[in-house]
Amino acid sequence: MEAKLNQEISLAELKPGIKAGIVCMQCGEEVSQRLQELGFVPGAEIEVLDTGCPLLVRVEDARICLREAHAQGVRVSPALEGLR
Amino acid sequence: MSASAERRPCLALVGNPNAGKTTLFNALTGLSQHTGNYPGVTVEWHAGEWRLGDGEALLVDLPGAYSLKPHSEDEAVVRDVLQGKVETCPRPDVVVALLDASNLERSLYLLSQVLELGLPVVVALNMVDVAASKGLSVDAAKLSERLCVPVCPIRANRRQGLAALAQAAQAALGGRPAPRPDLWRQEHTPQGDVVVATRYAWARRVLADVVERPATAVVTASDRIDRVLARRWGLLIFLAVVALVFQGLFSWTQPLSDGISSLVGSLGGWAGGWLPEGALKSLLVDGALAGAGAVLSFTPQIALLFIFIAALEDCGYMARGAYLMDRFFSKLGLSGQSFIPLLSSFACAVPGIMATRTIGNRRERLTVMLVAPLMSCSARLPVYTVMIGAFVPARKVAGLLNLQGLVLLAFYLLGILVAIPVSLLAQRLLLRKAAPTLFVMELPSYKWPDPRTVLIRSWLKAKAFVVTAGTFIFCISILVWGLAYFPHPEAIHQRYSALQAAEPAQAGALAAQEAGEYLRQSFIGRAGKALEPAFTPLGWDWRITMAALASFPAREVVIATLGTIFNVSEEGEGEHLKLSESLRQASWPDGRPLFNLGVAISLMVFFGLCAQCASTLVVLRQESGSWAWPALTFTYMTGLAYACALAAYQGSRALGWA
Repeated sequence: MEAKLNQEISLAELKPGIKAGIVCMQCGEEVSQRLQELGFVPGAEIEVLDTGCPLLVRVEDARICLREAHAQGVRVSPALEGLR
Repeated sequence: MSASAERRPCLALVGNPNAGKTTLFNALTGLSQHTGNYPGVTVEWHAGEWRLGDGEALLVDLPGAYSLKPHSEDEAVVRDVLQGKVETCPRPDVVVALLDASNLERSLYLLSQVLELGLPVVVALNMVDVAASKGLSVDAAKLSERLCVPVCPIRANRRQGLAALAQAAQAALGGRPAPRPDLWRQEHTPQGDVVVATRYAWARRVLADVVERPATAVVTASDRIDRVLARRWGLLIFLAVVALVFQGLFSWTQPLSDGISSLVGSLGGWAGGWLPEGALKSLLVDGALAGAGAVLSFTPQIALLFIFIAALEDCGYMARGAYLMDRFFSKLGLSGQSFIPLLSSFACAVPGIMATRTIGNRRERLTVMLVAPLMSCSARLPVYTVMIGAFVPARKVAGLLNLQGLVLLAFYLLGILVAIPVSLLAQRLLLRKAAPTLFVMELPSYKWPDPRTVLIRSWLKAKAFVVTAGTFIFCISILVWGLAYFPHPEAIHQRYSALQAAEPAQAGALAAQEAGEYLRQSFIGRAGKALEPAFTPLGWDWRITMAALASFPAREVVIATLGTIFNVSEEGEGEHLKLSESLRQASWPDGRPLFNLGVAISLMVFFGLCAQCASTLVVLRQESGSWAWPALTFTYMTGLAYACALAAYQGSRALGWA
């Protein structure tokens, strides 16, 4: 639970139940585009609901599952929670 | 799909997946809809009549899309139809954009692209109740004001708000195009990530004080259900549900299938009663009626399968199943979306292959199509039942397990085990260049399945099954009938007539022998004899070879063929028992028994792995878009079946079973 404030981590490292904000995508263009269309946009609130592979997350109002490999490319920051 | 001379107005329904689009479409068009395929691609076409005021309009239900920048065939079709680039579909006059009120930002992302098309747009705002359960409230009037297009709140599953939607759509016909969203401040259009970000920024501007949301996200009822169904015990629960569905599939439809079979049988008896003896009677009774009966007796099971799948899909549980199964399928280079097509294939590969339409990734879809026919379909079951009943001792293993049951289970596992290396090899060798699956999937909120949507959807699919598979099974049955009937020399009949006259008490047995004699001299019987040397290493004689050849169009034919070739008389009950008895008594010319455990195993392995189903090959052609895939499937399965049956028989001999 010791994710430090202002520290940017990958979604795969985010602990369940901690709300974070999406910072950016660091995956291939295809993957990044698809994730963004599903609501993974900078500033969106994200929370891990269940760990493992695939990962189950809440992005704003949607529940989405994605594989760990793709989650590693999603950079999030616990400090951005409630940015909007 | 044709545009009539005096052109009806055409409207297109666009929206995100899981926004309730199918429910709305079914509510608006009912059973007036027609389905088909878009030219050149394997995406399904749905269109229907929508009553607008006094007139009728054509409503086209486009596949669910998150974006008009296509990632899949589905999304490419949405873009092409909206731009009027699909020949068989008129360019829509009005777009009905379905927004999911519980996920408005993302819905508006798609809408921002729709508004740029230069067409009049009407917005249908669905799922307001789901939004409320998430603590969101939406001001539809304000949204309409911001977007400068009509916004109609609806509840598609309750059929509420549809009249107002029809009114707005009618008013939009011939109206002005929707104003383009005010996205770009610069002259040039930015690319890539910036575009997405800009569109989302626009969506947020539009939604500012249109949507009121709680300070912290609400844990919804759907989330609470998921804590049980999508977590630790979720997989076990899902597998239990699947087992229950299959139990229902096989036990509930059995009486109906049997009823249809006996109805077709008595129809044959009745027609046989007044038709004159000869080729015409045989064609109608043994060819046409038997073929139709085969299709119809499978239909209840397949229709029920479609109903189960549609219900599980509509309530949102199917997505959980895909999520839970993904961890296993990811190891095979596939995803959780492959589970349902493969599962359906245990009933019949045809609906299984049709179900691959939900797999967005082409590489994954083609792989699943290739291995789906390996799953042990219900047409293989009679072969297993007869062989196991006749040659596997009904013994208990370890005190409680029945050996016969275990052998049956082993044959179900055989297909699954073979499918694993086949799918890995196919991806490694054939589909190397295709993009691997991107498994990112939304889990929609749970809802009660809408009976109307479920029934319409499964009705259309069952109809498609009967038409495609049915026509084919029917034609092939007639072809096989011809090969097994001709040349049909009169001399045999005369000889048996004389014998019957001499010994009237033996009439039944003689009639069975006569039928066997005719089959032996038919084209297919001769082919069996010619090919016997190739199948002797499998432990088969020409009769088994012939029965296997006759089953290439449809494997279930084998039981009837074996019955005829081994002179089983048709009188009385217990046909399978009699067949088992005849098989046990059959012998080689030198008097050795023909069948033993080894031969039974080799025959079952062959039937378990061989591509003996013409309908499957036709559906593969239809769904993959080329003959290459069915040709490959046929070749590899037949080769594999021969090799494995050979290994099974030689192995059995080494073990002393043969």
